[in-house]
Amino acid sequence: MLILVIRTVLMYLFVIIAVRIMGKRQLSEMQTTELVITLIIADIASIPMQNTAQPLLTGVIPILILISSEIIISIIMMKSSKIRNMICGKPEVLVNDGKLCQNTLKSLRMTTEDLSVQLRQLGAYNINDVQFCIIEPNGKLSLQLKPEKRSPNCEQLQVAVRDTGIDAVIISDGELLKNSMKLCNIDEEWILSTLQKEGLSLDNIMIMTANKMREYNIIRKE
Amino acid sequence: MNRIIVAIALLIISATICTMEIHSVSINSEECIEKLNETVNHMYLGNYNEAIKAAETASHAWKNNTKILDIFLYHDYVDEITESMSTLVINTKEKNNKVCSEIVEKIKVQLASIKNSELPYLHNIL
Repeated sequence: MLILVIRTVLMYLFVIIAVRIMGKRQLSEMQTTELVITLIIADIASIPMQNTAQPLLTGVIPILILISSEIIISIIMMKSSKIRNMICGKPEVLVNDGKLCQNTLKSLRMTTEDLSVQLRQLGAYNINDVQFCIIEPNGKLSLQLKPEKRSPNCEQLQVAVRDTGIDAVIISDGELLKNSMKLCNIDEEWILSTLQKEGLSLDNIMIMTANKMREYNIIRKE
Repeated sequence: MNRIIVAIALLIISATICTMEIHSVSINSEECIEKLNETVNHMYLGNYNEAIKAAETASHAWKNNTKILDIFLYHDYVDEITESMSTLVINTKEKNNKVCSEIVEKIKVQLASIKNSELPYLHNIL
């Protein structure tokens, strides 16, 4: 049993490192090859975890090979659009200038219900409001509404808007985040003096966000 | 550029481990077979003390090697041979020439099977 525990911990750490080397964090951002490899790695890693008669290397070596193959393939795909299209596919237009491409729907084996569900999730409840709809290689839909259905932006309304830059989390659970501070051009001195003004210390802070205009928001720990 | 170096490094590590495995299994199998042949020869010549010594050396050497072999091979395969080795030692002490020959042949087949199954032949890959 102890061996099972040790193997599980070792394989868990190894898989984290392996997936980290692949370089993607979120499932939804993965390309086809990365998704396939992640699923295979999960399966391969579980086998030596459960079977102590099997050497750990029977899980480690295939994972190493898969990771290096994935890195090499992704570099090749970066350099060659032909290979990329072959492996990942191309974006397909489902709605072209307001007109539904029925042949494309058929070739993708996608029903109108599937399309309607995805359009609703993107905020388009009426297909007639859609000017362009493209299905990306990762299966997600990208949408452009017809001009009369789009929300106007500040430029169109001729409204001047102040540029406050990005609002970044500069304190998380009492810890200063240096990268975010750099992003907002904020130094530790300002943060500590602001906290002092509010009668708080770092340990009291759950989240503190700020931007380059020194506008901040604090959420205290309960 | 960094990623490709990582990929190549991982491939080299994998290739090194595979080569070490094939080498380790091959060397250990050959050493073992040599000792086993020695055992059988001594038995048929009637040198039972020498035969027992050779059998015990082979068994002891194999048990030491299992620490390395268990890293690369399924433990069941290695344990089967260890069991056969122990049986060989007992039968050598009991001067059972016929049984000893059978056990030695069985061990040789098992060793050959382990060795060949690690080589990249088409029937192994498929």
